[in-house]
Amino acid sequence: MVEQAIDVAVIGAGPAGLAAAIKAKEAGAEKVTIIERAEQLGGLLHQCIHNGFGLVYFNEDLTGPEYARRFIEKAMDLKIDMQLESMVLDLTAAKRITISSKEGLRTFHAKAVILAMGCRERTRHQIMIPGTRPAGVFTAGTAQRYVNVEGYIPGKNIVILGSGDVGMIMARRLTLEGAKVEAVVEILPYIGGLIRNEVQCVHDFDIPLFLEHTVTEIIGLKRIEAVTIARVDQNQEPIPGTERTIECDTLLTSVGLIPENELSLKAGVALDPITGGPFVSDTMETSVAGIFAGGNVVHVNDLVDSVTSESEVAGAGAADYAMGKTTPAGRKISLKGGENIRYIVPHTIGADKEVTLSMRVREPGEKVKIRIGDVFTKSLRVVKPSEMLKVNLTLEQLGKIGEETGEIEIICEKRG
Amino acid sequence: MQSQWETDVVIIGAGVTGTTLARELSRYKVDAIVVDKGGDAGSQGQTKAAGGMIYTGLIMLMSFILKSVMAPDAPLYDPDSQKVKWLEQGFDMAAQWLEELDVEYHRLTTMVVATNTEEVKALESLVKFGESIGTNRYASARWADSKMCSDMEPHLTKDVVASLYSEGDLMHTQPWDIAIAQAENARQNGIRFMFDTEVTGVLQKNGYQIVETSQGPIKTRFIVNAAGIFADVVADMGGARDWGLAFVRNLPTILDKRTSRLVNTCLNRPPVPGKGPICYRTLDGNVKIETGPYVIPRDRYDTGAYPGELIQNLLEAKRYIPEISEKDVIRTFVGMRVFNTRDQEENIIEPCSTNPRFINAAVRLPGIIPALPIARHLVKMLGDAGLELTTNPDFNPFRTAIPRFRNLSESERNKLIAKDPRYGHVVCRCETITEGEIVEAIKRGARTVAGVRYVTRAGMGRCQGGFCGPRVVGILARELNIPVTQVMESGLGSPIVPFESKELLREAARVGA
Repeated sequence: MVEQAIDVAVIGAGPAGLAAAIKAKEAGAEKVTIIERAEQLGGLLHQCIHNGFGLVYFNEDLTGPEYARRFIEKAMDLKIDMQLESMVLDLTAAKRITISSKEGLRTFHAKAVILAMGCRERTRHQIMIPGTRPAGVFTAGTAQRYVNVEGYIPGKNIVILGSGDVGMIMARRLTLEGAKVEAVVEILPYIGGLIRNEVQCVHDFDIPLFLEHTVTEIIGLKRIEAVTIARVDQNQEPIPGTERTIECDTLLTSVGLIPENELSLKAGVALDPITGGPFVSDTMETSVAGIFAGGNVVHVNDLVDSVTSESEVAGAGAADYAMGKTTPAGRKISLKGGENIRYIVPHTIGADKEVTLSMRVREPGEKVKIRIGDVFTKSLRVVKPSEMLKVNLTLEQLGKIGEETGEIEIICEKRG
Repeated sequence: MQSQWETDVVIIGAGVTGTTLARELSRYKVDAIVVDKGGDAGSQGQTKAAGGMIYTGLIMLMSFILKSVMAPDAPLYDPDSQKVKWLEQGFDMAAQWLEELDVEYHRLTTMVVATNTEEVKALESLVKFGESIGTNRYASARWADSKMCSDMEPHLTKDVVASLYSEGDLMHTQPWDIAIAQAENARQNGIRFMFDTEVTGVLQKNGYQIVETSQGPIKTRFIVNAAGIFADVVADMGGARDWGLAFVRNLPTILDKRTSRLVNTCLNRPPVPGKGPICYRTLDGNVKIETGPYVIPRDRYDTGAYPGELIQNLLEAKRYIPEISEKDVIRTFVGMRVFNTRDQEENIIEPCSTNPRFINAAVRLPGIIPALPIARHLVKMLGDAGLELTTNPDFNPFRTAIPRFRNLSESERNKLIAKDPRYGHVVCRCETITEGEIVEAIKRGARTVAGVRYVTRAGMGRCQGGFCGPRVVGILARELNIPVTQVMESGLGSPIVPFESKELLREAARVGA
């Protein structure tokens, strides 16, 4: 068995892993290795050939592959070690990593590890859509890979369940490929993805949008032949008598993403049941010392730009840890989601370091105020669960936190 | 009519019944062809959705009681019943059978729990029933008090007051593995297989018969109908019948392997009419919930889940294992089973009354346990009907499974990768299935995405092929040398991605012009 000691191991070479590895190297870690199971760097960005990437981070409008290229080139320039087509089979709390590739098994002993495995798509089985199990039912991301990377079209008549961003983007993409998108069906009374995608991908192409509807049956034995959709009530239960059948040869599901933490569990990393990702500190360190995490493995982001920024924090933290630069554990203040706050990342902060908080609301709201303990308030016109809220806390604001405070509640309240 | 193919025996159906017969026939110098309308052995019909349980003793007692729903007047245990004999023989032969075929199995403890005094009484009568039969086989159950129950099943509800358990009388397999292994072994011993081949008719000629199929006619002397849930349709082609098929279905649910710690045994409640075990841990480490009622489907094609059915099953299982969560569901499917209407308790294993060279083998559930004794009986029937049974000196009963990378030690893995680097390339990340295994599966006969899935497990994990699907399709196209657009999910008419990029646009332009 080939064994190797390294400073920082980064698991996953999507936007999170690339940004984290680059930052770790720049912060002084010498031996940084990225381990990636696919044949190339960049992760899912390669199949995201649409634009809208980098508006925040680069202040430019890039496609997914263009966005990826900037990081890939930088990683190459920095001579970061890349292990492609390499699957991590095991990760321990002692940061021993076993990988498999065509060259055989190898073991890395890393001083610090960054989890950057991203997320996977929820499937039709997980949301328990009744009906048969024919060919022609895909998650939107899998269909996106077929269309944009492999060069194949899944069908002619498409129904899309769920109005997540990938679902809406695929509605446009398949329309441009000559398929007919018969319907985008969303169980909530509002769109699940970004407003710009609702406008540019659905409305601009006159694709029928069914809000407060869901698919109640999948029909077809060999290949899907139709779906039944129905209106839902306030409890998201189908209303009898509102069913209609739509003939189709393809159903795409865009019904949520799940952080991919099977490896994290192997290493004993504690997961937040709400985000599905690790509990993290303000350096993006998990419950296991020296194991950091960034991007969609922690919580599902709306924008790749946020994934990048957050993973840079993880990269810097991991480099410090690997170089023994971490200061002894100082204050840890827990952040608690109060009124209409579903979750906050990171879960704990110190009082001595600027931090960006990412959070989501539970319910849409208008004319609201975000309040972070006694240290921060901000008024917002509209909030939606699908759009992440970001708040920067400066040292000055953090300085207002009382000496004895162990927990701060964050709320999103209606303005009076 | 000119037949392209000629043989002694045509076996219709490549499920467990058909493949077991094929392998048993290959012990003799017999020429046989197995035809199946599906794309691969064991990957559809009754076999695919069977429980894969091979059992005797305690669970068998419960199934004897359950049957009283179907045939209330019959004795619970009839030692003269052909079905019971085959079930007992089949269990006793199973370990050797599976080991020769290199089919994985694991032994499970059976546990029957009681949550109140009434249920304790039901367990007491279960014990009495077992003892009344008079053989050790059915008297192996032991009592566990609530403390012992929670030691054996730490995640079990605290409502359990006592349980019966027994060890050594239950093996769990993946049922399709048996059909796949036997098809491989039979093929290795000279039996031919034709897939995507639907039987459309049978013509009786002077001294021979013609099986008409979607691939052309096959001339044969004997025919065995092992068509499972279509056994009645095929039987009509052969001649007259005085039986029909009745169907029941249930809806098993598979949970993420993350939850495998939730259950150690095969967990049951006292016999409830029309219900199976609550849940158990499968060979591959998933929790499988079977609790749901067996119900009468609309028809044999009614293989979809009904609204509410899934959640109802989960809630029922949750009563016993409270930590079960709908968040952990990765797959559900419908198990379609048949009974015959003439005698719901027995199998139809007999020649057609108007065509003695056409043998019907309509096996009811459980069909895997008695498969081997039934196949040997069928061979004997063919011999009695005139088929020459000369021992095949080259018969090799052993089949070696494709290496299972996920189960190997580090040094074994390295050795395998050194021999074939494709075993180092993990394609299915949820189940840790390598390109080497997928390529070998295709070499051994898998021809569809489902075929690869059932042989290797690629795509059976928590992402359900979301990640590896396109890669498996690519490997199939490459290895079979066919276009990606012709790669099927499970047989003809189930393409995965039927069009090439820009094909629809070109088509529209043509129509427009």
